[in-house]
Amino acid sequence: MRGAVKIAKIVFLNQLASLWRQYRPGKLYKKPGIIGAAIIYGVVLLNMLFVVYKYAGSVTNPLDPSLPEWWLPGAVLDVVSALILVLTFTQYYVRESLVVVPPDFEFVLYQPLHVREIYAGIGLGIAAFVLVSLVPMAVLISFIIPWFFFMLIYLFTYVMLVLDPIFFISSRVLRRLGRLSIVSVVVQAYIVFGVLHSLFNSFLFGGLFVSPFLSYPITWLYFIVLSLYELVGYASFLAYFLIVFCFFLLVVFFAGGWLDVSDFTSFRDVYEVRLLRDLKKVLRRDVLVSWSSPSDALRRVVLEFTVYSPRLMFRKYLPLFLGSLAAAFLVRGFLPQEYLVELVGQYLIPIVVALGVGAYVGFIRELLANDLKYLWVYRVYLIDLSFFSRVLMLKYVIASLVVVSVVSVLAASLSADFAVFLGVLVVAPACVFSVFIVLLTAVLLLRRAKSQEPASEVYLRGGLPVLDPVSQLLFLPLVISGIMTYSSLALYLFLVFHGLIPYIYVAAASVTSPVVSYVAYSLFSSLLARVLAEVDVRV
Amino acid sequence: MLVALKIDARYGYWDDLLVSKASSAIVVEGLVKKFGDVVAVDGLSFTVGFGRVYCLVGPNGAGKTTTLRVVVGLLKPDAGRVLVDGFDVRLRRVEALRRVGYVPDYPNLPSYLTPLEFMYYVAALRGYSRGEVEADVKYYVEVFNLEGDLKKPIRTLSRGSLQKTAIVASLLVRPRILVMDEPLTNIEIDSQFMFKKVVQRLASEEGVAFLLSSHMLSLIEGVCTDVGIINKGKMVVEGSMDAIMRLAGERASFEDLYMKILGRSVEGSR
Repeated sequence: MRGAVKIAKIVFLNQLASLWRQYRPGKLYKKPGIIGAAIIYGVVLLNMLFVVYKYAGSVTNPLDPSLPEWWLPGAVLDVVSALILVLTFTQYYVRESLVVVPPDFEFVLYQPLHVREIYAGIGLGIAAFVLVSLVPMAVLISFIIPWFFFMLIYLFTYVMLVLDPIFFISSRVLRRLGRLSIVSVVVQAYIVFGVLHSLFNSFLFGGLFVSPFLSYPITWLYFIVLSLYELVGYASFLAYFLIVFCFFLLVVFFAGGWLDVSDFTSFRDVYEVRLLRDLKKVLRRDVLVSWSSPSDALRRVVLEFTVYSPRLMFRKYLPLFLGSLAAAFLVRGFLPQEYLVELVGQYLIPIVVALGVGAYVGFIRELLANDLKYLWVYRVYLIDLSFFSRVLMLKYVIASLVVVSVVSVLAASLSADFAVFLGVLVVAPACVFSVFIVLLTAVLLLRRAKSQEPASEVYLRGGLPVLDPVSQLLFLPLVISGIMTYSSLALYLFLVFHGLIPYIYVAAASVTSPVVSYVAYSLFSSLLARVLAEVDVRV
Repeated sequence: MLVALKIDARYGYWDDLLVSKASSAIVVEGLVKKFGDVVAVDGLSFTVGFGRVYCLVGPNGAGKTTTLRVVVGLLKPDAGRVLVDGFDVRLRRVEALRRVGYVPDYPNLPSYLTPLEFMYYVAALRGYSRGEVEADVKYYVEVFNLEGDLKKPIRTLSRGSLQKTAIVASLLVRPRILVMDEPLTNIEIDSQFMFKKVVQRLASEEGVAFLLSSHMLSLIEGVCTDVGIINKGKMVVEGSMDAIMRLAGERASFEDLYMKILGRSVEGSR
């Protein structure tokens, strides 16, 4: 057990350090860095405790007034639980892509320790890190959704400390006995049965019904803790963590003897395999070796070869576009106009903003993983970076406008008002400006980061940027610019939906904004070219 | 510099040690580059002539890679200046880099392209059409034994193949100046041999200037015409290969001289 604790400590601290090093190379172990991180974390943690203390007893659950709001179970929990069950089942018994050892920890496998100790150490280390990372994020979200905090902690600890060891060890043992394929078929049949059961009951009784076959294996402990809460209050928290931890230790120490070092697969291997598969898909095309000019070469490679190429964006968003169109017509058919306006006011606007911010986080990933990762090529061989900055801006403005178009089409179909669709044109200058901010942020990240790994790779390592105040500050302009664009769209939709803006203004804005957008695009792309030519590039 | 002066005084080779600044391809003067509190390059000066192969040698962390990145304009110097082909790389980037090729130590190449596409892409970025570089592509691909990898995604390539792809791309743009950071790391022996032949031919026949950093003795002793040994960001000793070898003494090798200059010995390291 001592070995497991040591490994857990190394895993925890190294995860923390690797996250920190993304932005502050080599600074974590200096005293001011540690003190700064501890203070920020402490403030956030105290904030959380205050929120829980202040609101836990006073806010009541709208579905069941006897329960505090932050304990809300119900449909959300059922759906999330079913999804988690299906995903973990699929991961261990169907796909077999086991993700156990995070990058840089393969060395642990070669230490003179029992395999069960190694497994327990890695599991505990990752669980501790994810929990510590989750707490501040959970606190932030708890301000908006009070029940989120406990559900998040519950799901993560339950999945990591109970389900993972059971599924992992049993799948390894079954594979060794040559029985995994049989179990895989059974698991798939179970999932199909659960889905059919859910659909059948939803159809029969109306509304959303999640089969207990899918949700109960996840929620049973949650309900036990919930019942205990009625009897013993906050002590149920401790009881829950104690149960989960004991379960983990029991499984690992009694069944861990079945494990072998070869049963571990690293994150890196899984990631590489997936990446290669994706790349092979991309490369099913003619070899491209002929271009008419440097700008033509740039346009084709930067615009067409990546996930944000207009062609791929069209393919990716077409089903969403058609789906939203169909949904809009269905809703229009069933809902009276006054509910429709209320629906848009309450739900569409937050959804639009969330969608937009999500899209912008994707942009930064693409920028760091592809476009800017090879900036040295352009700095050395292209020489004049104005071509590059123009193409780069164009790529993200198009991608941004595609997302805006989908939302506008959905809103226009809901309202049957063509003026709503003109939102695409009206918010185009805001799109151009926010794309410029995103690109500048990415360049700033590029300059600071030791390696230009996309944020998603940091997440893959179990890291969450919430812990890193520097990364948060760097992401701030990104989030603000995303919110700005999509808030302006949301505001426009709101005004048009409620008839608060005369059509003459809409027409004027639609005519002038393409011109404004083009001027802004030219101005910002030349500014960006200067920054790209000046910024330090770590190859 | 102190060590260099001592050696000069003892052996009287100061004239030989000075590389001619006439027709200089690269002139580095008082270069300083800092990363936060760390001084990576501290007042470095040297000159590379056309038709010369200048090798920067030094221990890990000596500042070689940083110097090369400043020369090709990827990093801004904090002080001093770098002239490439007669132009200040900071103030007149476009003119300075027009005839420069570069191979980084860990080349990050677009993973969604194939090596063949990358080669033509780099040529296209410099304005060369397919027809203009096709013969060179064929020649260098054969020389560096890259045929088998040409149509694979770059992401799947070994480190050696990545390095060779970056080398071929740098040669395709008809450079007058080539800057290469440890170009032979991870490359197989036959390609190393061919690389040395290519470098010697381009330098002697076409007057291409090479600025290389390397730890490979065979490259330093066999190909380089000038050597600069740097440590902790400073030039310790610099000169033509012949002069440097005369410093080492008749029976000594470059390796012996290098150890002596850096004050390292087998006994001392125990």
